[in-house]
Amino acid sequence: MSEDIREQLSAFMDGELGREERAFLMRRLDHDATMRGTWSRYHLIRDVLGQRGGSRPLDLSAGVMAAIEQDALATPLRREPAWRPWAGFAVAASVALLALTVLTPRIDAPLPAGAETVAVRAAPGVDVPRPIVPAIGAGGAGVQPVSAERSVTLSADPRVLRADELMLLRHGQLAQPGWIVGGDEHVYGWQAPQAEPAAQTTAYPPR
Amino acid sequence: MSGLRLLLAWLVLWPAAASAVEWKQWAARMDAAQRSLNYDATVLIDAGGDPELIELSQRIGPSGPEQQAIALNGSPRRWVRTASGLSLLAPDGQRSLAAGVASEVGLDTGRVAEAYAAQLEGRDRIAGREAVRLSLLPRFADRYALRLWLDLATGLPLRSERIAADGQVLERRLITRLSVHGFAGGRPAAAGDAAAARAWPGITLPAGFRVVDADLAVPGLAEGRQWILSDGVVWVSIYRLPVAAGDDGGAAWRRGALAHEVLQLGGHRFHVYGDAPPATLTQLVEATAAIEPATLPAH
Repeated sequence: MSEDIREQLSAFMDGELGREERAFLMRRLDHDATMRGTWSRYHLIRDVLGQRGGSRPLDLSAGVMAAIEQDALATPLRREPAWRPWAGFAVAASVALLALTVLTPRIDAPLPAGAETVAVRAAPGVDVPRPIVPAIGAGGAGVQPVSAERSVTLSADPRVLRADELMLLRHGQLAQPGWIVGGDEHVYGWQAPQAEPAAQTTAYPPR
Repeated sequence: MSGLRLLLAWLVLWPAAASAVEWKQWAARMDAAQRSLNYDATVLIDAGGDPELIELSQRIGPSGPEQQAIALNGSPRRWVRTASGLSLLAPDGQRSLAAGVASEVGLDTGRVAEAYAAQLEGRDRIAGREAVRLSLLPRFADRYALRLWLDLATGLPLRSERIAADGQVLERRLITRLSVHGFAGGRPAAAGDAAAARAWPGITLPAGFRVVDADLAVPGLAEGRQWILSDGVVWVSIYRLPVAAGDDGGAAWRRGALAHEVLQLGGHRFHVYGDAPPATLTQLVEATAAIEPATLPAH
């Protein structure tokens, strides 16, 4: 979709199109699913972000669309050689063999000091959601993502929390979930503003 | 004649009574969904500044709901909340654990009605799902309003807005994608009014607020004690630390509806967190600071 059309959609939303342009754009919307999708996204973005007092509306869609188009230009379509599927299979088989013969640890080998490994769990049944983690209390082994069950190596001891982090996390844990989307987890979406990290702690990468 | 008056009174009062029953039923459905629904959702959090996008999963485990949140933008982070604690996990394998037991006090709509006028505002559509709008308008100027969009099929909140007295939306949360995996047998919550029934003599709190938990030990925070207060919608944590012990709890801040205030009273420093205007948080600290732990009733 051209930049002109996107600008027309934007102008249409702002009520800045003339009668003829409006009619033409509506006819195009009738027959263009991509354009209807863009139209819906514009409304969603405006609804979610544009109505906050004192904030600048963000046009996320334009950036995303530009990136997609740039990517498409950078990688022109090529005819795939006939041997390509077999090459992929051969690479996959080699990697699997390597993993089995070289990377598989001995069962009786001790864990390296200072680390614990979360066991790989069986993939959950199609209609049977599983708990995220069996236990996380004293010496808890950590967690695994729900969407991608995989092994995770975590530090043996939890990092020492600064007082402000600890208080905020406990507030998120103890306060009753309920009245907002996702429970009462204010800590989910962000990290508390903080001064210079204490010497004994490790700061997360800057945002 | 008196029969006619009775009929007229019934006709006038019945819609209000029916509406009250209806919003309480929706609130109870919401509570049940949050305690016993398995789901995966993409949630947009707009609390001022850059919007945050998280992948949220809830599964009902043997000890209640467990949640995992993965930050999709900003620095890579993951949180896991279970009945025994809340963990923050960094991509390098480092983990931080805030041990604590989640409050099991159930929803008390009677207590909510003390401080808020609740009303259903019709239907809407969020993330492709039919939703019912529920508004909670504060009866007092010292707290925020809350608007909720509840999923018609499950009762789960699909969108929420905290709104200041001047109409400004302080915090908006919106589910943009939801996959429901069905209800599980969640543990029933404790009676909603159990906390409210406790006697707390000598405390004058802002209207509607109750002490939910008092004088809790805080593992990892030497000599720190925690108090939890709520009016049924707002939840406030007050931490009391001895001044002499030093303090790296940081300065006051506010983001969206959540505020952090710091006060020094007597020989203690207080840090308070909650979804209320800073002045209300200060008022709550001043009220609870007067309590001598030795006088607290056992629970």
